[in-house]
Amino acid sequence: MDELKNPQANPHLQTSAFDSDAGQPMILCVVPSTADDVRFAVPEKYVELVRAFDGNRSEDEAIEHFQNANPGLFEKEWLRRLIQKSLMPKGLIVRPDQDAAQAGTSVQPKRGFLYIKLPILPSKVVDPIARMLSFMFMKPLMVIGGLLFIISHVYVYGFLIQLDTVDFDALDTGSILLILLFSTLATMCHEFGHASAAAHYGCRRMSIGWGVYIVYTVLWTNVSEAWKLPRRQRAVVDIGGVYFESLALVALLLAYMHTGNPVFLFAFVFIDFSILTTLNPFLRMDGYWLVSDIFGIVNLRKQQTNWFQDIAHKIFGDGDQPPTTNLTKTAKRVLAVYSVLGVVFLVYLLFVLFDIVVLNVASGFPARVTTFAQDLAAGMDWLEIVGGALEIFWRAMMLIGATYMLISLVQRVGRMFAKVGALRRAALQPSAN
Amino acid sequence: MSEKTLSNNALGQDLLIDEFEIIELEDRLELAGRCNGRCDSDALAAA
Repeated sequence: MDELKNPQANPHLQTSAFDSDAGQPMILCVVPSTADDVRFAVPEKYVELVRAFDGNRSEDEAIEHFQNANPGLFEKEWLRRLIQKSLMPKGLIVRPDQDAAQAGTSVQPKRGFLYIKLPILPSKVVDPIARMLSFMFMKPLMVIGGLLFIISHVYVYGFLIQLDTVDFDALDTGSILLILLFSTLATMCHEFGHASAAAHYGCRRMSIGWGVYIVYTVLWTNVSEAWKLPRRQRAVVDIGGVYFESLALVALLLAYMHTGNPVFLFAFVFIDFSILTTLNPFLRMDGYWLVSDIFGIVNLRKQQTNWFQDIAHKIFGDGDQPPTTNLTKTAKRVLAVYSVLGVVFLVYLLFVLFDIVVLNVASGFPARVTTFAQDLAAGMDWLEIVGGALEIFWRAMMLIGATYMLISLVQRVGRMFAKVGALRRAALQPSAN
Repeated sequence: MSEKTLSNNALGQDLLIDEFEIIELEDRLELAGRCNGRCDSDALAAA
């Protein structure tokens, strides 16, 4: 490999201790890029190697310096590969002719795990509001919020719903639209809950947007800066959304008690369904981040795939492949349980998708569109137009999401078979090293 | 590069974890679903 000339540790690199359940101490490295910052969890020893690149030492001298400080830990050629295959491409070490302020590279798709991702509120709007609301995360207020959550739920489900006053069929188009509006407002409260919790712990550069995830139309908040927080604080950021949304529920309950209008009560129940969904750890919503942060397993879904691949290595490989999951025993056990239950949930999700999307939404979609067009031509009031258009819109989003998910699933299964094939061929091949 | 190394590299790419155990952290997008589908008349009737 070619000798590098005066590479140096990226002067824009920010490092801090990273709180995870990895099998070795990790450092959070934040590297600026042309878009957002890119964040890496890097074994502590590698960061020591990065710091050996002071701009004066050549690559060989930096490696030698590191090896002198850590005798017998790594071979020279292995370190050279680490530098050239990983540390330099990621922008942790930069060449003298490179723009260090834009050196970070990411392999993630820009839309993350969403099928559609549209920003709505940029950080210059979200940050000041979040800072203003961050006082809500003082402990006494959080305790009061928790008590209100419990009391409001006991009252609604223990008394109001029991009274048999709820008649879902009684809702007209206007009421349904109102529920949609309340739900959207409550979800916005939810997102500001995440942002305010993150702001409470000093995070900035948060944005809020809209997207499609599987078959759900969602709002999202980017709180990537929260990676720098200890796990416990990250978990508070995760529940911050439900905390704020439950305050919105209390407001709806008060409105119902004041007016007696059942729309507020319906909205309470439906928003509660949404909260339950977000707590599901197998969807990438609040529950997912909670499990990830509580147990310190970063990139939980990716680690799950990693875990399955380690098993594939054991079954189909030659058996001498070290495991790629870098976790403590406890975290590995949690990951195993999560992975197995995740497969069960995936099967359930596919059944539900087939039942709802294929048998219900897709089959009725053309007729619904035709009827809407005919009604539109015949004349409808604006409320019916909005209601009908929204019904068609969310169904279309659901169909797009389900189609994308199925295509993605087929591709993944194809890649899995290709990898198993590669493992089997590699196991049969005599070792090249 | 041996086929074994090649397959190991391929494993890491879509997992955000490379062969050196350096992990690119996922963007933390905290999602929340709105009720929409469940608010249509069919779902309400079913509920």
